[in-house]
This record gives sequence, C-alpha cells and structure tokens, in this order.
Amino acid sequence: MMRRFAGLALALLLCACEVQEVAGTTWQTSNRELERAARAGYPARIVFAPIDAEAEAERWRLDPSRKLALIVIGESDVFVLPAPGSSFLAQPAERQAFVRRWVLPFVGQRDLDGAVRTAARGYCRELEERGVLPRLPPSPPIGMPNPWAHTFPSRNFDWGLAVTLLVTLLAAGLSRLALRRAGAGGKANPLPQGPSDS
Amino acid sequence: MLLLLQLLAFWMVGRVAGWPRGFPLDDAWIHQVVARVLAQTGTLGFVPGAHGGGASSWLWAGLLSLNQLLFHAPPAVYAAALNGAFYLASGQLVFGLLRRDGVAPWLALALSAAFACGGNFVWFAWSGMEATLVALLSLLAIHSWFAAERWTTALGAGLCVSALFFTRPETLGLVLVLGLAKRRSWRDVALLLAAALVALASYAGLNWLRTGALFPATLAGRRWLWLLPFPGWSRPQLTVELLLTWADRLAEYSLGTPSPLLFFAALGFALWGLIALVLAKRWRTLALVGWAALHLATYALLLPALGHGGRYQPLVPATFCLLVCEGLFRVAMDASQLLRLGPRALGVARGALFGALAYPMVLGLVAWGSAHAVAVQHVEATEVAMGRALARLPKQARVASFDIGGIGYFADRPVIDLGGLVHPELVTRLQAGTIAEYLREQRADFVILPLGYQTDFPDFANFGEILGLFRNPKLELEPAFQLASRGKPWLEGARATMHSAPRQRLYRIRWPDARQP
Repeated sequence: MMRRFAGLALALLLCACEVQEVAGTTWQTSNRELERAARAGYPARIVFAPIDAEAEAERWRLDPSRKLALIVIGESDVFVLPAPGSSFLAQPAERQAFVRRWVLPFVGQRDLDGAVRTAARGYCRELEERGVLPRLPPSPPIGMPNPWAHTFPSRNFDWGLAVTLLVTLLAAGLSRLALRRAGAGGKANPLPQGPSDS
Repeated sequence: MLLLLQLLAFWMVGRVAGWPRGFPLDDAWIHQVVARVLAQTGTLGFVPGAHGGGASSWLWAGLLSLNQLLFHAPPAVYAAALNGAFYLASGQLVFGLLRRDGVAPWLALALSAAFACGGNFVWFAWSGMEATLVALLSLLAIHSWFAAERWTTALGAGLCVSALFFTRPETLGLVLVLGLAKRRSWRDVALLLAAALVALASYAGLNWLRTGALFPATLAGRRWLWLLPFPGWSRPQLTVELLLTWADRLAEYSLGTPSPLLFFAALGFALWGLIALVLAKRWRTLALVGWAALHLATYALLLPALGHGGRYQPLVPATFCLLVCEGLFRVAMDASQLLRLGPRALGVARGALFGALAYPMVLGLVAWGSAHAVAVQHVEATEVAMGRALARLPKQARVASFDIGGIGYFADRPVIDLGGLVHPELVTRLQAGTIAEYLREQRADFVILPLGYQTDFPDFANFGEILGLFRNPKLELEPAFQLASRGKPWLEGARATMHSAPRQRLYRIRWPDARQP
C-alpha cells in the first residue's frame, strides 16, 4: 500500500515539473485592465509566446480576422501589433518607446509575469496620457521586476506539493518499519511515540 | 539552557543590527506617537481628542506610554527591553508546554529552540511592534487553560485572552481553540467566555462611544493598502496568495533559502511533525499549532496580508520551525531505531542533528540582524529625518503625509494622515482617488509622498500615482525637499521587513484656480 502511494507521489512529481512563468491571477488582472481599453474602443490582447515570439507575432499579423492590438511577449523580446486601422501605436517609433518604457525592463530581467502585468498597465496608461481613458480612480500599483520570482516556492506549488507528500509518506513508512522492527525484536522503542517521551 | 540560547539569539540579532538605534518600521513610530498622546492627553489615539484613530493595539500603546510617563528612556531601547522580556518568557512557555505534554527534555529543548530562536521570531522582539506580546499572551492563555482545573486557572486564561484582545482585536478566536483543545467544566468555560465577552463589549463599546464605529479605523486603512495590488480578486484567490506569500517567506527567511525543493521537503517534515504530535496526543502543543492556523485563517478573512516582515501572524514562522524540527527528529529517531544505534551513537546522532539545525538558524539570525540594521537606517534617513526637517517650515504651515509614524513623532506639529489610519472615512476617498479634494478641505500647504526610484513609474511605492495626486489637474505639486535611501541597502531591508518606500518627498501644494494663502 505504502509503495503504491509512494509511486503515485513520484509520478505526480515527474508529471507536474512545469514552472508556471505567468500566474493565472496575472492574466486575470491584466485582462481586467485591458477591458477598460476595450470599452473605450481600443481592444488589445497580450499573448505570451516563450518559444518563438517572432513567429507568433507574424502569425497574428497575417491573420485577416484580427481586430485588436496585440502585445506578444517572448522570453527575450516583445512585439507590438497595432489594431488594424487604428492610429494608436501605429508608428514604429511609438511602439518602440512603448516597449522600452513598459515591457523591456521586465523582459530584460526575465520577469515574464511582471512583463504581462506591465504591458497591460502600459497600454492603458498610454491611452490615459492621450486623454482616451480617465485618469481616476488610480490604477493599482505594479510590482518591481523580480527575475527570481519563478524560482520561489509560490510558483512551484504544483510539483512542490508532490515533494511534500513524498517526504511525509517516506517518514510515515520509516516510522512503520521502526515500529515493526521494535515489535519483532521484542525490544521497547527507546524513543517511543506514545503519550510520553520522557 | 533554552534561556541561554534565547539570550544568545536575541543578542546576536541586536549585535548585528547595531543595538536599538531606532525602529525598522514606520508603524512602530505610530505606536510611539499614540503612546505619547496617551501619556500627555489621555487620548488613546494618534491625534489628541480623536480616540481610537491610528491606535491598533491599545495594550501595547498603554505599555509604551509608561515609558513616556515614568522612565523617559529612548523609545527603541524601552520597546526592545519590554519585547526582549516577552520574547524570553515566550520561549520558556513553549518549553513548559512541551514538557507538560510529555516530550523528553532534550527534544523539548530542540523544539522550543526551533520555535523561539528562528530569525524572524527574534526580529519581532526588535521591531518595536506588538507581535511578541501577541505570542506571549497566546502562550500564557494556553498554559493557564491546560493547568489544574480550578476556577482561578480558567479566569487566568480568560484574562490572558482579554489582554490578547486588547493587543490585537482579531485574536478572539483563541477562545474557540482553547475550548476544543481541552474539555473543562461548564463553570470554567463560562468564566473564559465571560472574560472574552467583557473585553469585546468594552472594546467595541468604547470605540462606539468615541468614534461611532465598532472597530478601529486602522483596519480599513490597512485593508486598502494591502489589497491595493489585487483588484477584483476573489476571497479564495486572496487566501491562496496569502499562503503562497507565506511559503516564499518561510523558505527565504526561516529556512534561509528560497529553494522550492528544500521548502517543500521541509513542509513534508512539518506535516509529519504535525501527524506525530496528533498521534502522540500532545494537546498543548497542538493547541498552539491550531491557534497559529486559526489566527492565519482569521487574517485570510479580515485582511489577507502577512504584514511587515510577517508581523500580523507572528506565530506562523515560529510554529513552522517547531513542526519541521519535530518531523526531522521523529525521522531521525525512527532511523536510529532501524539502525539499532547504541546510546552513545544515538547521542552523537542527536548532537549532529542539533548542529545541522543550528547552522541555518545562526545564518537566519545574522540575516535578520543585518536586515534590521538597514531597515532602521532607512527609516531614520527618510521618515524620521523628514519629520525633523519639517521643523524648518513655518509654524502655521499645514502638512499632510501618507507615512505618519516617524514623521508624526518628530514633526513637532500635527500631521494630516493620508493613509486612512486615523479617519476611516478617508478610505472611500482613497479608493475614488479624490485625495486632492481632501487636501484642499484640510487646507494643506505641503504633502509628503512616499516614492519609488522612478517618479513616473506606477510601482507599489509611488504614492503620487496611488493617491491620484500625480497627473491631477486639480493641484500642482512643486518638489521642495527629498530624502532617499540607496538602492541596495533599501532593497535588502525592504525584502525582509517590507518597511517603506525608498524615497520621501515633500511637495508644496499649489491650487491652480486659487490664490495661495
């Protein structure tokens, strides 16, 4: 039984070893922020393409049904596609300035979660500065670039909990073996787990 | 032995921190302002005559006011002395709980040292905040409740719960934990409940009489501040975020490394430690662990944030270390049983494990000491220095500020609070971004804003953006004076203690459509 549990935990551990670079709540917050822009007639979407951002951007650029602006964020580069027919971010210099001001500081530090959040903020903020969106109430603040965020336990809970389970099961198995050994040998456990250790 | 270890841990953090020269958090200065106002005017609040405003911990403010009345010691020295005594008593009480639970002396020593000598828990005693008092009163209440079944012990537990309530109002849940952890006679339960209810009634009643609200203004202000980065998040999402943030903090600031592998392995040991406590029916220790969990759950409901340096839930890092230690020693004991180690080998193995655990703990103490040193330096160089600098302004000039602790203590003039700590009605204005109008109503001539390193970037430290004062056509802000900490030390202190923004800038306010006074 114990072996089966340990096997299951190990399988979980091996299957779920995927680092989540952009948190679900980041998408939620960013999409919510972009809805403001969409309501004002400036719809946009952020696409996260860590493998080949350029190809992804090209695919979207050639898509004739696209009606919104796109910000494609890769592991080391960012591409901005203005909405077809829109003058907002239509000039290459404008797009470069946008990327340099908002997204690159985060992409440059490999904080892709922060890059997604800041891209949404930057898009709305640029619209605020053009008088398209109201400036008040103030938007929530955004965090500083954190290049190590994805290496912390909070971003690795999926496989991490499997490790926790594995350690607990191994400890339980060891305890059981020790108890059995103590019982078989007829020798009292020098450090029993009963009501008193003293 | 434990006392010696605790003294050593307390000394080590103090030594590395350079002894109490100031406070690492602006909130500690807020307590000092409240204590001074209480001692001088009898008002328990930040502003004379405004009861409750800015006073989140009545008992702590009361204890601090004794210094203003009797001793006149430097505030940081007095707070450290008081908290140091509470800290030492807390460790001894944990040892007592473990021993009465039947834990062997050597294991009780290891577990209580894990609880009390972790860097984060020791730092609470140096922080100038009420966190250590919360731990002490919680432990005293558990001790009293598990003592001999006499009405005096039940009343003692009730009084501790009441005192705890006046230290932090969200701690009333301890009554539930005590009731579940040990069944006592109806008379004793009634005594415990009566003491808690009297505390609740007098607290809410006093608040109602003086402010018209049942609970203090600080909760609304702090809720706004801490939940600001999470717009539209559901309660479960906020709870998960709180737990994830604790996971990161426990890894980095209790285990000494952010490595997920090590943290999750330690969590496994902690889980096994908890199971071992349940199997061995260590009810006192379980009551402590259960209380730490319920307190965390209370915060998940009321204010899903861990506070500066984890100070809102001070029992979490300490009980986590205790459980990890329990789990590790259980595994070691089982392994030694399997290996049939003799008494001498067993002693050596125990000593080796002690040493292995002591190493990261010493590193943690040193890390917290140095984080404390840079945090104090930062608060002194920005908030405190800004407060002192305000003396140069004309006497009649009216100044508003978001951070009101160090500035309020040293300004030698009333400071208008912009954080919603003193006046709860301000929170709706903070949410709506109408602080400019509030400044005008208050006839403020100057405003002090915490800022990040980039004034035009809307990060979490940029309060010009957060308060809706930048890019606002209703007022013009003319920079007058600025104080800042350098990036690296600021970041080191901020990551550990979450103290405050790197810059404080004083702005002269100009109203575009009005003549200046």
